[in-house]
Amino acid sequence: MNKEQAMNEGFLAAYLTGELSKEELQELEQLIAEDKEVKREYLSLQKVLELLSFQHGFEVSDNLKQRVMQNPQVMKYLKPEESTRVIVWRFLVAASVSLAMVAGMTAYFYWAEFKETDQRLAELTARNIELAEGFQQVNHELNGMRNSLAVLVSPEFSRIILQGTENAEDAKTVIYWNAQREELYLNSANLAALPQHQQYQLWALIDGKPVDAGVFDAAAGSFQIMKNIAAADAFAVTVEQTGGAESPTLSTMQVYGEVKNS
Amino acid sequence: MTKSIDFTQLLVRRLKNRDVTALDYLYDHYSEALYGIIFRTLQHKEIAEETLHDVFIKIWEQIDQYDESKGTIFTWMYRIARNRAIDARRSKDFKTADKSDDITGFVDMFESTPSQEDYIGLSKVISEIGKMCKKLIQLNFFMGYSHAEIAENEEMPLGTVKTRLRNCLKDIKTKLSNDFE
Repeated sequence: MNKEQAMNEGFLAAYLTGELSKEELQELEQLIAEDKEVKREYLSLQKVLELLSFQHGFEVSDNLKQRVMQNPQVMKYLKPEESTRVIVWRFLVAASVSLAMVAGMTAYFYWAEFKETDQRLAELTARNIELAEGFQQVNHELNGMRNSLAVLVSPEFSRIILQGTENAEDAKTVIYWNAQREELYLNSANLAALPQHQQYQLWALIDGKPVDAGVFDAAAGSFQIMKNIAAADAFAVTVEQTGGAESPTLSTMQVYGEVKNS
Repeated sequence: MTKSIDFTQLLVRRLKNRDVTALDYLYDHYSEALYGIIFRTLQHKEIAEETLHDVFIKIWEQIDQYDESKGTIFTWMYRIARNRAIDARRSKDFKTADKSDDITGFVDMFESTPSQEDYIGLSKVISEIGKMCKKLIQLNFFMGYSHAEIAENEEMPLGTVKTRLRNCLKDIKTKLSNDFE
């Protein structure tokens, strides 16, 4: 018998019922032991038979179990002091309970192990998400810093220092401006924090006329992108209501700086 | 999972240690399934129950001969039950009980309500495998008829009976395949 014959000619099904000749039996058992595929096929046929048998069982008379359990062949394995009828049954009940407990404990063990694994998985997943978020954040910050650095070191950006006015003598604001590309950045690090209803507003002055260059908060160390400005003689920062004003409230001017014509 | 123990392995180990409580469990768990096979083979309640009793005593006495590498505990017990029932059918007692061992009284067991909850949709699968498959499976696996007896009764070549039986089981397996592996 070869593998194909074993798999396809009904030998496995005949093995289930025990309808093989001695030679066939030996050859098939060897194949099952040696070939994983044959073994798997045998296992699934066994499972089909078991499923069918369980699904189409018949109820047995109640007293038959007692007859089996009280057969001398069984009774002789019970300890002598337990062999009176009542005690036997009490013992069997207790034993069933203990077997049930073994089953219960096994189930509990798996359940506990599953739960522990499940929890660990949840923890690891959460940690993973945390790390990914952290990474994203760092990456984002890094990109921001890269861009800032590019602006800082670029020869195309002019650096303009706005000095504090009477209103805020210690204040200082640095802006970076690329007139050609109309890009304008501002570092607000040195400005005081404002009440919630107020914001700083940057103005570009062209021929004495103020042009809105965007509002900003005094966030520590932040490098803020302002509105596009193509031309300016000077820059100034005023304090305005949140959202900015159409024209600057000059009395609140914090810093001021002129653009050096190169 | 090095700590895990397969429950049937534990059961077999306890049976081999002559632990009566394991036999108690074995009976509770398997008696109805085995009785279904024995009863269908014999079609006689008293003789079938007597046979089931003998089968459990034989399982108990011969458990040391069970070799896990050669199949599941159920398969091993199934063979004992089937063979015992066939022997009983051939015996003198059986013949005097006015029964015969011809293939008679075939009733499609798959038409009856399953004795267990059908969680896996087995009934639906069975309803799809064809009349001949259902009959062959019942005659061979549940009524104790040999390939030769079936071949004669169904007027079918012996080889065909064997391969068809195998194909029928395989068909069920494939249709249930979600529950395997």
